[in-house]
Amino acid sequence: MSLFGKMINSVVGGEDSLSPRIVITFDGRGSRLYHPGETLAGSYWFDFVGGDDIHAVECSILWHTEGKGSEDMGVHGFWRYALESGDWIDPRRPGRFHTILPQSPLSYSGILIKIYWSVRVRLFLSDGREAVEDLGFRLGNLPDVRTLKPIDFI
Amino acid sequence: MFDKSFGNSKRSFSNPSGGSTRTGVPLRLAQHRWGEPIFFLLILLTGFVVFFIQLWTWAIPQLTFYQEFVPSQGKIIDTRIAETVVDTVTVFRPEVLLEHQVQGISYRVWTFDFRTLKPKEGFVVDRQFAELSLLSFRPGQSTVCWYRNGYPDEAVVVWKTSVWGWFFLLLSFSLLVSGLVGFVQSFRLVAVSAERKAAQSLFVSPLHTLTGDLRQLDWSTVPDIRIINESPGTHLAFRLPIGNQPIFPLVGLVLFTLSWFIISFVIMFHSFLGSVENRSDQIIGVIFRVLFCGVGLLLLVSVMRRLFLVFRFAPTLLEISDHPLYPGRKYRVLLQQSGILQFNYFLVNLVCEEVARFRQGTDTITNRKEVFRQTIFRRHDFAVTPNLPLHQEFFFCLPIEAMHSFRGENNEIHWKLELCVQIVGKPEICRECPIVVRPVLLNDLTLEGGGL
Repeated sequence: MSLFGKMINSVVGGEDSLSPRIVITFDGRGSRLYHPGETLAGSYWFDFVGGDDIHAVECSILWHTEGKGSEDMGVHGFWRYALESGDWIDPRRPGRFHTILPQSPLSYSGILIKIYWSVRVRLFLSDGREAVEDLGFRLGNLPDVRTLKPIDFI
Repeated sequence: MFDKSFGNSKRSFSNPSGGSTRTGVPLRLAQHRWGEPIFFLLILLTGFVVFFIQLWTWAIPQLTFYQEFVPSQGKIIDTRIAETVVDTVTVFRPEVLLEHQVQGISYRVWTFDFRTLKPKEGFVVDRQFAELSLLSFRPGQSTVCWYRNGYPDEAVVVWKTSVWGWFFLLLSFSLLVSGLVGFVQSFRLVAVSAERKAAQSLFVSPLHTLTGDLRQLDWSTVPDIRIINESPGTHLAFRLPIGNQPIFPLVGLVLFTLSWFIISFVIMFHSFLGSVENRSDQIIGVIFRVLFCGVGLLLLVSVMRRLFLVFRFAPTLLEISDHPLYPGRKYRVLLQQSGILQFNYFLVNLVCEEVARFRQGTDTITNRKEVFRQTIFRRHDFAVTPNLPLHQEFFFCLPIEAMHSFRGENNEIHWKLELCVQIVGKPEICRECPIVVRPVLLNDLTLEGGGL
């Protein structure tokens, strides 16, 4: 990387070994497949970041689309903790999220449209920078739409 | 493979415990969306500048000026049309010779409205218009007048304020207010994440209380079922609306065709009345007139054909045993077709279609892709008569792994029943009945009879 590149990287906070680490985990299961109405719970925490460096933390449970069309996004659960609201944020103490998953939209893998669910944690630092980490999961167990077979009644 | 199917593989990777770990998340400057505040700031500044210029240069002097005038009683002595030349054009102004008294002293002044107080204002090009303004004033007639306090030589007999002036003042004021409100609102959201913004759109409470579960909106991405469920059937639970017959475009097309047809034939007959001596002009004229009339005839034939198809084929009834639909359930459908028709075939298809929209420049492009199609009713070579209408009940089952209907701002998943028919000697016509599929409920997996 050129000297200029390094300077730019340090200004915008390029990836290095001291970058904050956001860890998200789901409670007590090896699978990331959930059904509507099921409870999704988990934790998140941060490494390589001091308590004074954090301005705010947002945790969202959301779906978004990918594919041919412009992105649609919907938030099912949203929690924000910020210093200005009087919240105490300890980077080493796991933050918790907990929700009952909705009936729709189910995770979907279509031809033009794909719907993904994820837990997103966004960390706002005091110096104006931010870091984001997503952990995807499936809502429902729909197969790829290409495998959908008609049931013949005629 | 696992990650790809879950998306977001760029940011996290899977581990057996279902968690995500990284050796450092890339940091970036927090996203600030300045575009909207800047836009509203520009509106605010424009509104502010225009409003205060109008206020100081027009509204306040105007109000002050009006306040200086005192009503009085006067007498019309004479009327005239004043003339002057502006840039070689003669312009006219109505004037009356007003006599009025102030503190026992009589004043005579040629005047009309506020504009005539200035020597070069109030002139119009249209003399008739100026004369019309004087019609209500007759010599010898008493009239109300207004004179300027302390300056009795300045008097008017018509008290009119500029409506347009107040209109533009109001316009610039509303620009100022909307700019201010928009700026304050958008400035609050400058550094707000996309998730927070989306959550805010679901909540009415202030931003700082935006915390928690938004569970009540389970069906927010599934299309509304009321349009169908408010229409009960005669035999089965619900009557499905048969779409693809927009009446307004058809009426518009009929009107356009009739107008074209009438105009073209009027031109044609009118041309026969006139005589053109030049032979080549005559030939060219005839060619164009024939082309014009030919297009009119083609349009007429096309519209007649459409009208025939729509109104001849109209009485179709489609009813369903339950709605909304759930994957894995079986449904009963009633199909009724009356009229006098000879069909090559009549098909009812169950179709799922993806619709994706994106913007390209100023255009919105819509892409459609059919992802599922199943023929659930099929009948060939039969006739329908008034004594023997088609009255057919049949069943279909929605695949248990079917995706539910989905409606986002830019992406949609539609389910529909598609009626495709071919009447003997006519092209195929397809019409659509939209249906709504909801996701199957875990505790309600009944494969048979659920929808019956």
